[in-house]
Order: sequence, then C-alpha cells, then structure tokens
Amino acid sequence: MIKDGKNRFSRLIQPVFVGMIYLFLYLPIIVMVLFSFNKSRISVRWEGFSLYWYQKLFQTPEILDALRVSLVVAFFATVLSVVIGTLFVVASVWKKSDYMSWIFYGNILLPEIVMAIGILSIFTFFQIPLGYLSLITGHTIIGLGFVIPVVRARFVELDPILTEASLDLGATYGQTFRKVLFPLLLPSIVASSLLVFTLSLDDFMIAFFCSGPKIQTLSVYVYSMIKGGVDPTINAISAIFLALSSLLILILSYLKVLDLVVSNE
Amino acid sequence: MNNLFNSLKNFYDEWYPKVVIIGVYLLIIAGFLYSPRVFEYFSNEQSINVYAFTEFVSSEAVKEFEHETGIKVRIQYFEFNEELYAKFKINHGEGYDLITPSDYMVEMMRKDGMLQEIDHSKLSNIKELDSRLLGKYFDPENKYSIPICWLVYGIVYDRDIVGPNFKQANLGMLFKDPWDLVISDVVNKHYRVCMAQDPRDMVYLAAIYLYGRTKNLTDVELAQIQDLLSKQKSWVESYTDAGTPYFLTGGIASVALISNHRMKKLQEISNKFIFQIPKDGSIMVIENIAIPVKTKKSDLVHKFIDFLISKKIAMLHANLYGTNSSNISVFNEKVAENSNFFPKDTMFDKLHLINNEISLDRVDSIWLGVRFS
Amino acid sequence: MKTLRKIFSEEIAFVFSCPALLWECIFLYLPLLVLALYSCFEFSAQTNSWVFTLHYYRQVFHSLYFRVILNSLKLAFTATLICFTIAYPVAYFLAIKVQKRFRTFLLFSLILPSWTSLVVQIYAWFFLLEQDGLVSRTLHWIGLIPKSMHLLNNYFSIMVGLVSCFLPFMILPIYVILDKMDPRLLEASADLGADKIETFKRIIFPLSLPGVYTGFLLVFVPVFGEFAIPSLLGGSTYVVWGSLIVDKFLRARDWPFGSALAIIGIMLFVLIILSCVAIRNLVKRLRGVN
Repeated sequence: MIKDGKNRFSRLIQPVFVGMIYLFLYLPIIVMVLFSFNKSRISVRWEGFSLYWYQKLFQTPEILDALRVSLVVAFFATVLSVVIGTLFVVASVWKKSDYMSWIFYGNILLPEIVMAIGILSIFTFFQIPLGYLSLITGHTIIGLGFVIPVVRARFVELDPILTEASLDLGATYGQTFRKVLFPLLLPSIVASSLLVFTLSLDDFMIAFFCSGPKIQTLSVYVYSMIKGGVDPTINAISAIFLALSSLLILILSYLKVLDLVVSNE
Repeated sequence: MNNLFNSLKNFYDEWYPKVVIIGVYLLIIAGFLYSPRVFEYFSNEQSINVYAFTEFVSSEAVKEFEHETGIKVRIQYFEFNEELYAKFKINHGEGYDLITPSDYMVEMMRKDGMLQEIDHSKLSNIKELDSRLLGKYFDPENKYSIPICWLVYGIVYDRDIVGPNFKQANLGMLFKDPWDLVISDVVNKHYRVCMAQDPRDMVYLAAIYLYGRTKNLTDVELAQIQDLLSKQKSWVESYTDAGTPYFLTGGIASVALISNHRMKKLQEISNKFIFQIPKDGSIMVIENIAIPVKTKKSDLVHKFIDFLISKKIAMLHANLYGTNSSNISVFNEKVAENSNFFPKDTMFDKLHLINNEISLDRVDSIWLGVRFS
Repeated sequence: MKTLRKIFSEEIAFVFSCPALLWECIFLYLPLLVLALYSCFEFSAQTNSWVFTLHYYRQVFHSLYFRVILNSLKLAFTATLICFTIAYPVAYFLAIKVQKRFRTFLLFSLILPSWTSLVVQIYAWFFLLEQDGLVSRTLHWIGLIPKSMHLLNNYFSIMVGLVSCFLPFMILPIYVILDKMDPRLLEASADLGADKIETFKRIIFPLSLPGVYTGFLLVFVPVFGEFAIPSLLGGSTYVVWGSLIVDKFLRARDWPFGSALAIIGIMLFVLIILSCVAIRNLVKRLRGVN
C-alpha cells in the first residue's frame, strides 16, 4: 500500500462522496416505492399503509394486457436470440470464422432509436404487419448483441483444447456439443438469457416504435401514463418492476457474469 | 481460359449450397413474419375491418351489433390522422372497410380519391343527425363522410382564485401577457397556463385570437403567429392534453386550454373548475365515418354506420367518452344536463374548423421556431 | 444438383451460423440501407418513378433542425462528462479502497436501479421533483424556495435524470479495469519513489483509459438517442434529436425527412467518436515519444 499521509478528514471524503452518490441513485426509487404503499393520492401526506394501489393495478385490464404482452415478447425473444446466438458462436468458432462476430457489435454501437426506426421502416417497406412478431424480432436483435459476446467469451476459454480432446477420443461434433460443451456453456447461456429477458422486459425504444396499433408493452404503457402526471398506480407498477429486476440481477450476480459482459464490449 | 472457367466453377460450387441455405431461411423468416396477414385473409366470414381512433366505439356496442346482425367487427386503432393517411397512401386502404377521419383529413382523402360514396338511403337514422355538422367545407354534400361526434376547445380555470377576475372567458387569458391582464397581484405572480399538444391546434387558435379567422392566412400573419406563440412560452407551464387535469388540480397551472370531453373527466375529479368557451371564438373538431374506396362490403358497412348513429348507441358513447354526439336528440339531452359544456346556438358561427390551408410542414416549422426561441 | 438434405449435412456449420447472420443483416444493416434510401429518394408523381434528391438533406442543414442536432450532441456530451467526473472517483474507491467481500454487494446495488426499465427510473425522479414531491417540500421547509415549486420542465431536471440513469454504465467499466490492475505495479511505483499523485497520473489513469473509453461509449451512445427523459422530465419544451425523429416518424409521417435527420445525426455522432479515437491515438503516440 502506498504511504498515506493524509489526515482523518480527507480520508473520510471519499466514502462520504461515494455514499452520497449511492443515495442520489437510490433516493428517488426508495421514495417512489415507499409511497406506493401510501393510502393518500397526494405525495407527501402519509395516510397510512395500504395496498390499495396494488389492488387497483390488478383490476386494470390494460395493465394486465400490457404485462402479458411484455412477458410473451420477452420469453420468445430470449429463446430465439439464445438459440440462434449460441449456434452461431459454436459453429463460427469451430469453423475458425468467428471474426464475423464483430458484425454483432453494431447492436451496441448504434443508438437504439435508429435501430427502432430502421426496423419500422423495413416492416413498412415490405408491408409486414406490426404486432407481437415485429416486437419479438426487434428484441431478438438486441438480444443477439448480448448473447454472442457473453457466450463467445466463455466458449473461447474452453475451446479448442476441449474440442480437440473430445474429437480425439472419437466423438462426433454433435456429441461433443451435446455432452461436453453444452453443460459447460450452460451457465453463460442461462446468464445471457436472463440478461436478454430483462432487457426485453425493460425495453422502451423498440416497443415504442414497432409495437403497432393495438398492443402495448408495459414500458410503453407506463410512458403514456406518466404523461398524465403522478398516479400512485404507476408507483405500484414500478415497485413490481423493481422487484422483478432485483431478482434477476441477484441470480445474474450469483452467476458472476457481470464483468464478462462489460469487459467484452 | 480454362483457368477462368475453373475458378468460376469453384466459386459456384462453394457458394451454391450457401445460397440455397440462405434461401430456405429467408422463406422461413418471411413465413413467420407474414403469417398474421395470411390468417386475416382466410377468415373471411361476414365481417368488417374498422380502422378507428381510440375512443370511437365501445366493446359493448360492438358486441351488441354482432349479436343483432351476426356481422363480426374487427377494430384496429390509430392515434393520428396522419397515420391513417400514410397507410392509405400506400395501398388505398385495402383490407379496411370503415375509417374515422377528422374533418381536414376527409378533405385530403376525398381529393385523393380514397373514399367511397355513402348511400344516404341506406341509413335510416340519418335524419337524426345534427344539421349544424353537415355541409361543411371538407364534404359539402356529405357524400363521403358522416359526422359521428365532435368536440370544442374551451378554457378552464379555478372558480375561486382566477374566477373573480374574469366575467367571461376569452382567448386573452391564454395569449395575453399576464401583466397585461387585470388580475390581482397574488394571481398574477404565479399565472401559468397549459396549452394543447398538437401544434396545429395552437397555430389556428392564435390565428383566431389575432385575426378572428383561420382562412387565407398570409406569410406575414403566420410570422406574427409564431412571434405570439414564442412570447407566450414564458408563461406556459406545459404543452399537454393528458396532463392538464394533473397541472390544474395540483395548482401548478391556473388556466388551461381543454377540450370539453376532457373537461368532463376533470369534473369527476374536482368541481373547483369552470369551463367556458371563449367569447372571441374557438376551434371545433368534427370526427367522421368514411368508407375506403376499395372495400367490397359496402352493405355490411352501411349497417354498422346506421347502428352507430342510432340514438341508443350515440347515447351510450356520449356517456362513456363525453364527446358531443352528432345525433341531435342525444346532444340536446346532454346540453340540458349541463349547458356550460356546450356552445350555445349563437356561438356556433364563432367556432372554426381546422383546414388544410397551412401544410403540416409549415405548422411544424412554426412550432420548431417557437420551441427554439 | 445436390439434394437439399445433402447440402444441409455438408454445410452444417453454415446452417447453424446462418440464422444469426441473416437476422443481423436483415434487421440491422438492411434497415440502415433502407433509411439511407428513404432519405435520398423521392417518389415523383410526374415521372412515376423514384428520383434521387438531396432535398431533405438540404432541408435539415438550412434550418433550426441542424441546431437541434448540435444541441443534442452537446447535451449528450455534457451528460457524459458529468457522469465521468462522478464515476471515476466512485470506481476508484470501489476497486482500490473497498475490501473484497463488500464489493459484490456494492456493485450489485449499483446496477440494480439501471436494470429496471428506463421509464420506471424517469418516473421515480418525476415523483420526487414534482410540485408536491419530497425535494420541493424539503427545500421549502429549509427556506431555500418561496413556495413548493414544480421543479420539473427545465434543463436541470433533464440532466439529473440523464446522469442518474446512466451513471452506473460509466462506473462499471472503469471499475472492471481498475479491479484488474496488477497491485504490484503500484508497489513498484512506490518503491521507485513516486508519491500518490505521480502514481495516479502516470500509471493508474493511463492504464484505466480503456475502461474510460468503454464507459464513454456506453453513456454517450444511448444518451444521444434519448428522447423519453427530455420529453417527460423536461416538458415538451426542450427539443432533442430523438424527439424530432419520433415526431417525424410517428406523427407527421414524413419518413424521408425523418430518415435524413437520423442519418445526419448518426454521421455527426460517428464523426465525434472517430475524432475521439484519433485523439486517443495521438495521445498514445505523443506519450510514446516521451
């Protein structure tokens, strides 16, 4: 450790500063969640603990519809992006053509709004109807941008030694994949699917442009609600959103995949 | 020569299978993406496809219509008239049997030949329509459109705080500098207004305030409108439609521009507010039903139109959405309930319709200039 | 002619990698091409064909629209800079000063707010900063402001929202880089007689630059395209590139113009990124000389 000749005061500055930053990030969320349990509609008057707004939430059919849309789209987008992403990674690394992976970095480098209007333009140009399928398509693209780096990072660690060994022992490529690589890749596959699922649930941009006339995801619905001002029902939805995301993040950090994502972007 | 041929052959051998594989996948993806359209095409029973704005018809009414006639109604929604127009520009609305354009959009679509004639003889309820809504500029003989409902913009303000200062609402409450309005100091210091979200509404309203008309506006006059709106920005709290009740009930804004159907919703939350149609004039919007030119289900559509303008259904929707019905008896009943929300007969000639004289581009550039000043 | 089956079994690697590549090309790169085409081709009713035109680009350059794009770039850059100023000390603290066992928890709690939906975070600030919100009431109680004010609908609230939503994306990459740094380097530097500031300037900061660049990209890219935060927290008065695009695409349905706007924005944005890369290479070369 480098000799630290500072006094106690300046040694306190850093933790205090960091603490304040954490407070800055958390204060709005904590307040918002707290007041979702407030019986009163007006913000700063606490009128007692109540689950009224949560009840109201479950009684509003539009919210439940939007939730259903979000979940369905997230599920299929995750499945699709994980499947085709993993297949791509495995096939391209084996064929030594995984320099192609750089194509997928465009997903992160392009502002999402341009991606969204691009997808919308394509769909209109080819007269493809907008709806569930268009949303799933858009979210799959985003998902691919995360699945491929994550799985590839792990795969490159394992390969080629493992693959060579397996082939030397007489297994075919198929068997190698099924019995050797897949179980080892499973943690990163699960991690990236959780990542994509969360991203898809939370996504606002693509859903805003490409969901078409009747269906809405939860994010888009909340956006239109916010335009009408404060409403504790939104607090309740947000609290549930938070709870869901925390759960997913908990699992993700348990699988230690966070640094993997960041160090490969 | 032989070498060239060989290398071409090698190229072909290497790429041919890849092209086939790509082709197969493209077919799968295309099938996947176009499938909803295929489903729609095959379910061709007695049904009509409606493309409407969001608060047009309730599911109750649809169920009743389906029950009465056995005709299935499928509705898709749009939010802006431009969406409707853009869709129709591509393929003249193939696939849709009924649409709900607003006044200015009827003129645009009529001129582009996108609409089919409506046979008045098939509509038994047509005599119940409010004659003040018929024969307007966008369709003088109502050959292509039938009005379904309308709304009017008015000014809403707090009864106790701002109320005592104004006997009769006027557009100056929105457009005049608060220091020029004769109000008490207390109200003056925090005077903020809410304006509409659609720039078109604001440009035309400013035109009514400055010149008393919405037609034949010269470039000089448009520049003056832009100046007025730019100056107004400093006392505008927000340009919103959905957020107006929030700003009013929270006391953040004292006065707001509001449509009379949104006023009804505000009334449900709080009765501190007065709604009045400004005495120097205001904007009214007429929503219509029209038939796309390419539909082949004209008979079924006429039945639905007749159903919608009937007294029972018109009453149902007037109660549900708060818009003014085109059915005269329903409208008169609503006026009897609360005459403040509705313009008196004498006011009608001060109510202007939005027209197509100023292109959307021009409105947008005025609006950008305002926001950027 | 080979049968389909034979083709599939021989080129099986291609079969597996094809879907992802196809998906990417059709739904990311092709759209960019379509946007470019939209922006410079106009359907002329006279000749009944598509005509090449730079009309839309001219429209963008010769008007307020261009100023809006520049303003958005400025906003994004400012937000990124602010994030960097706050993020670096935090990342440094986490990577170097905090004990290992607390780090996972602290990192996890850092990421949590950002992994919820953007609209949820925006609403949280909306709720806090509104007329009767906690911040306004507290400031009023302390006596800083005359009465409970609506703190939203201004530049300040937009910046607060942007920084709050994107700060973790700057902290994380810097943390990862600093965390991976070999502590022996620091020891060596101390042994050679450098004090803390020297060490930081010459060793820690330069080595952490890759993380800084990643963070810069992770913040600048999304903030530039952002329209939800300026629209919800800033009132519709503050015009951003993103909201112009939304307006042109969804409301006015003027797609050629919207595409031209999008493409010009992207080109300026790429220009900025390329110049940053150029600056970085220049800096490297200069230091190499030293």
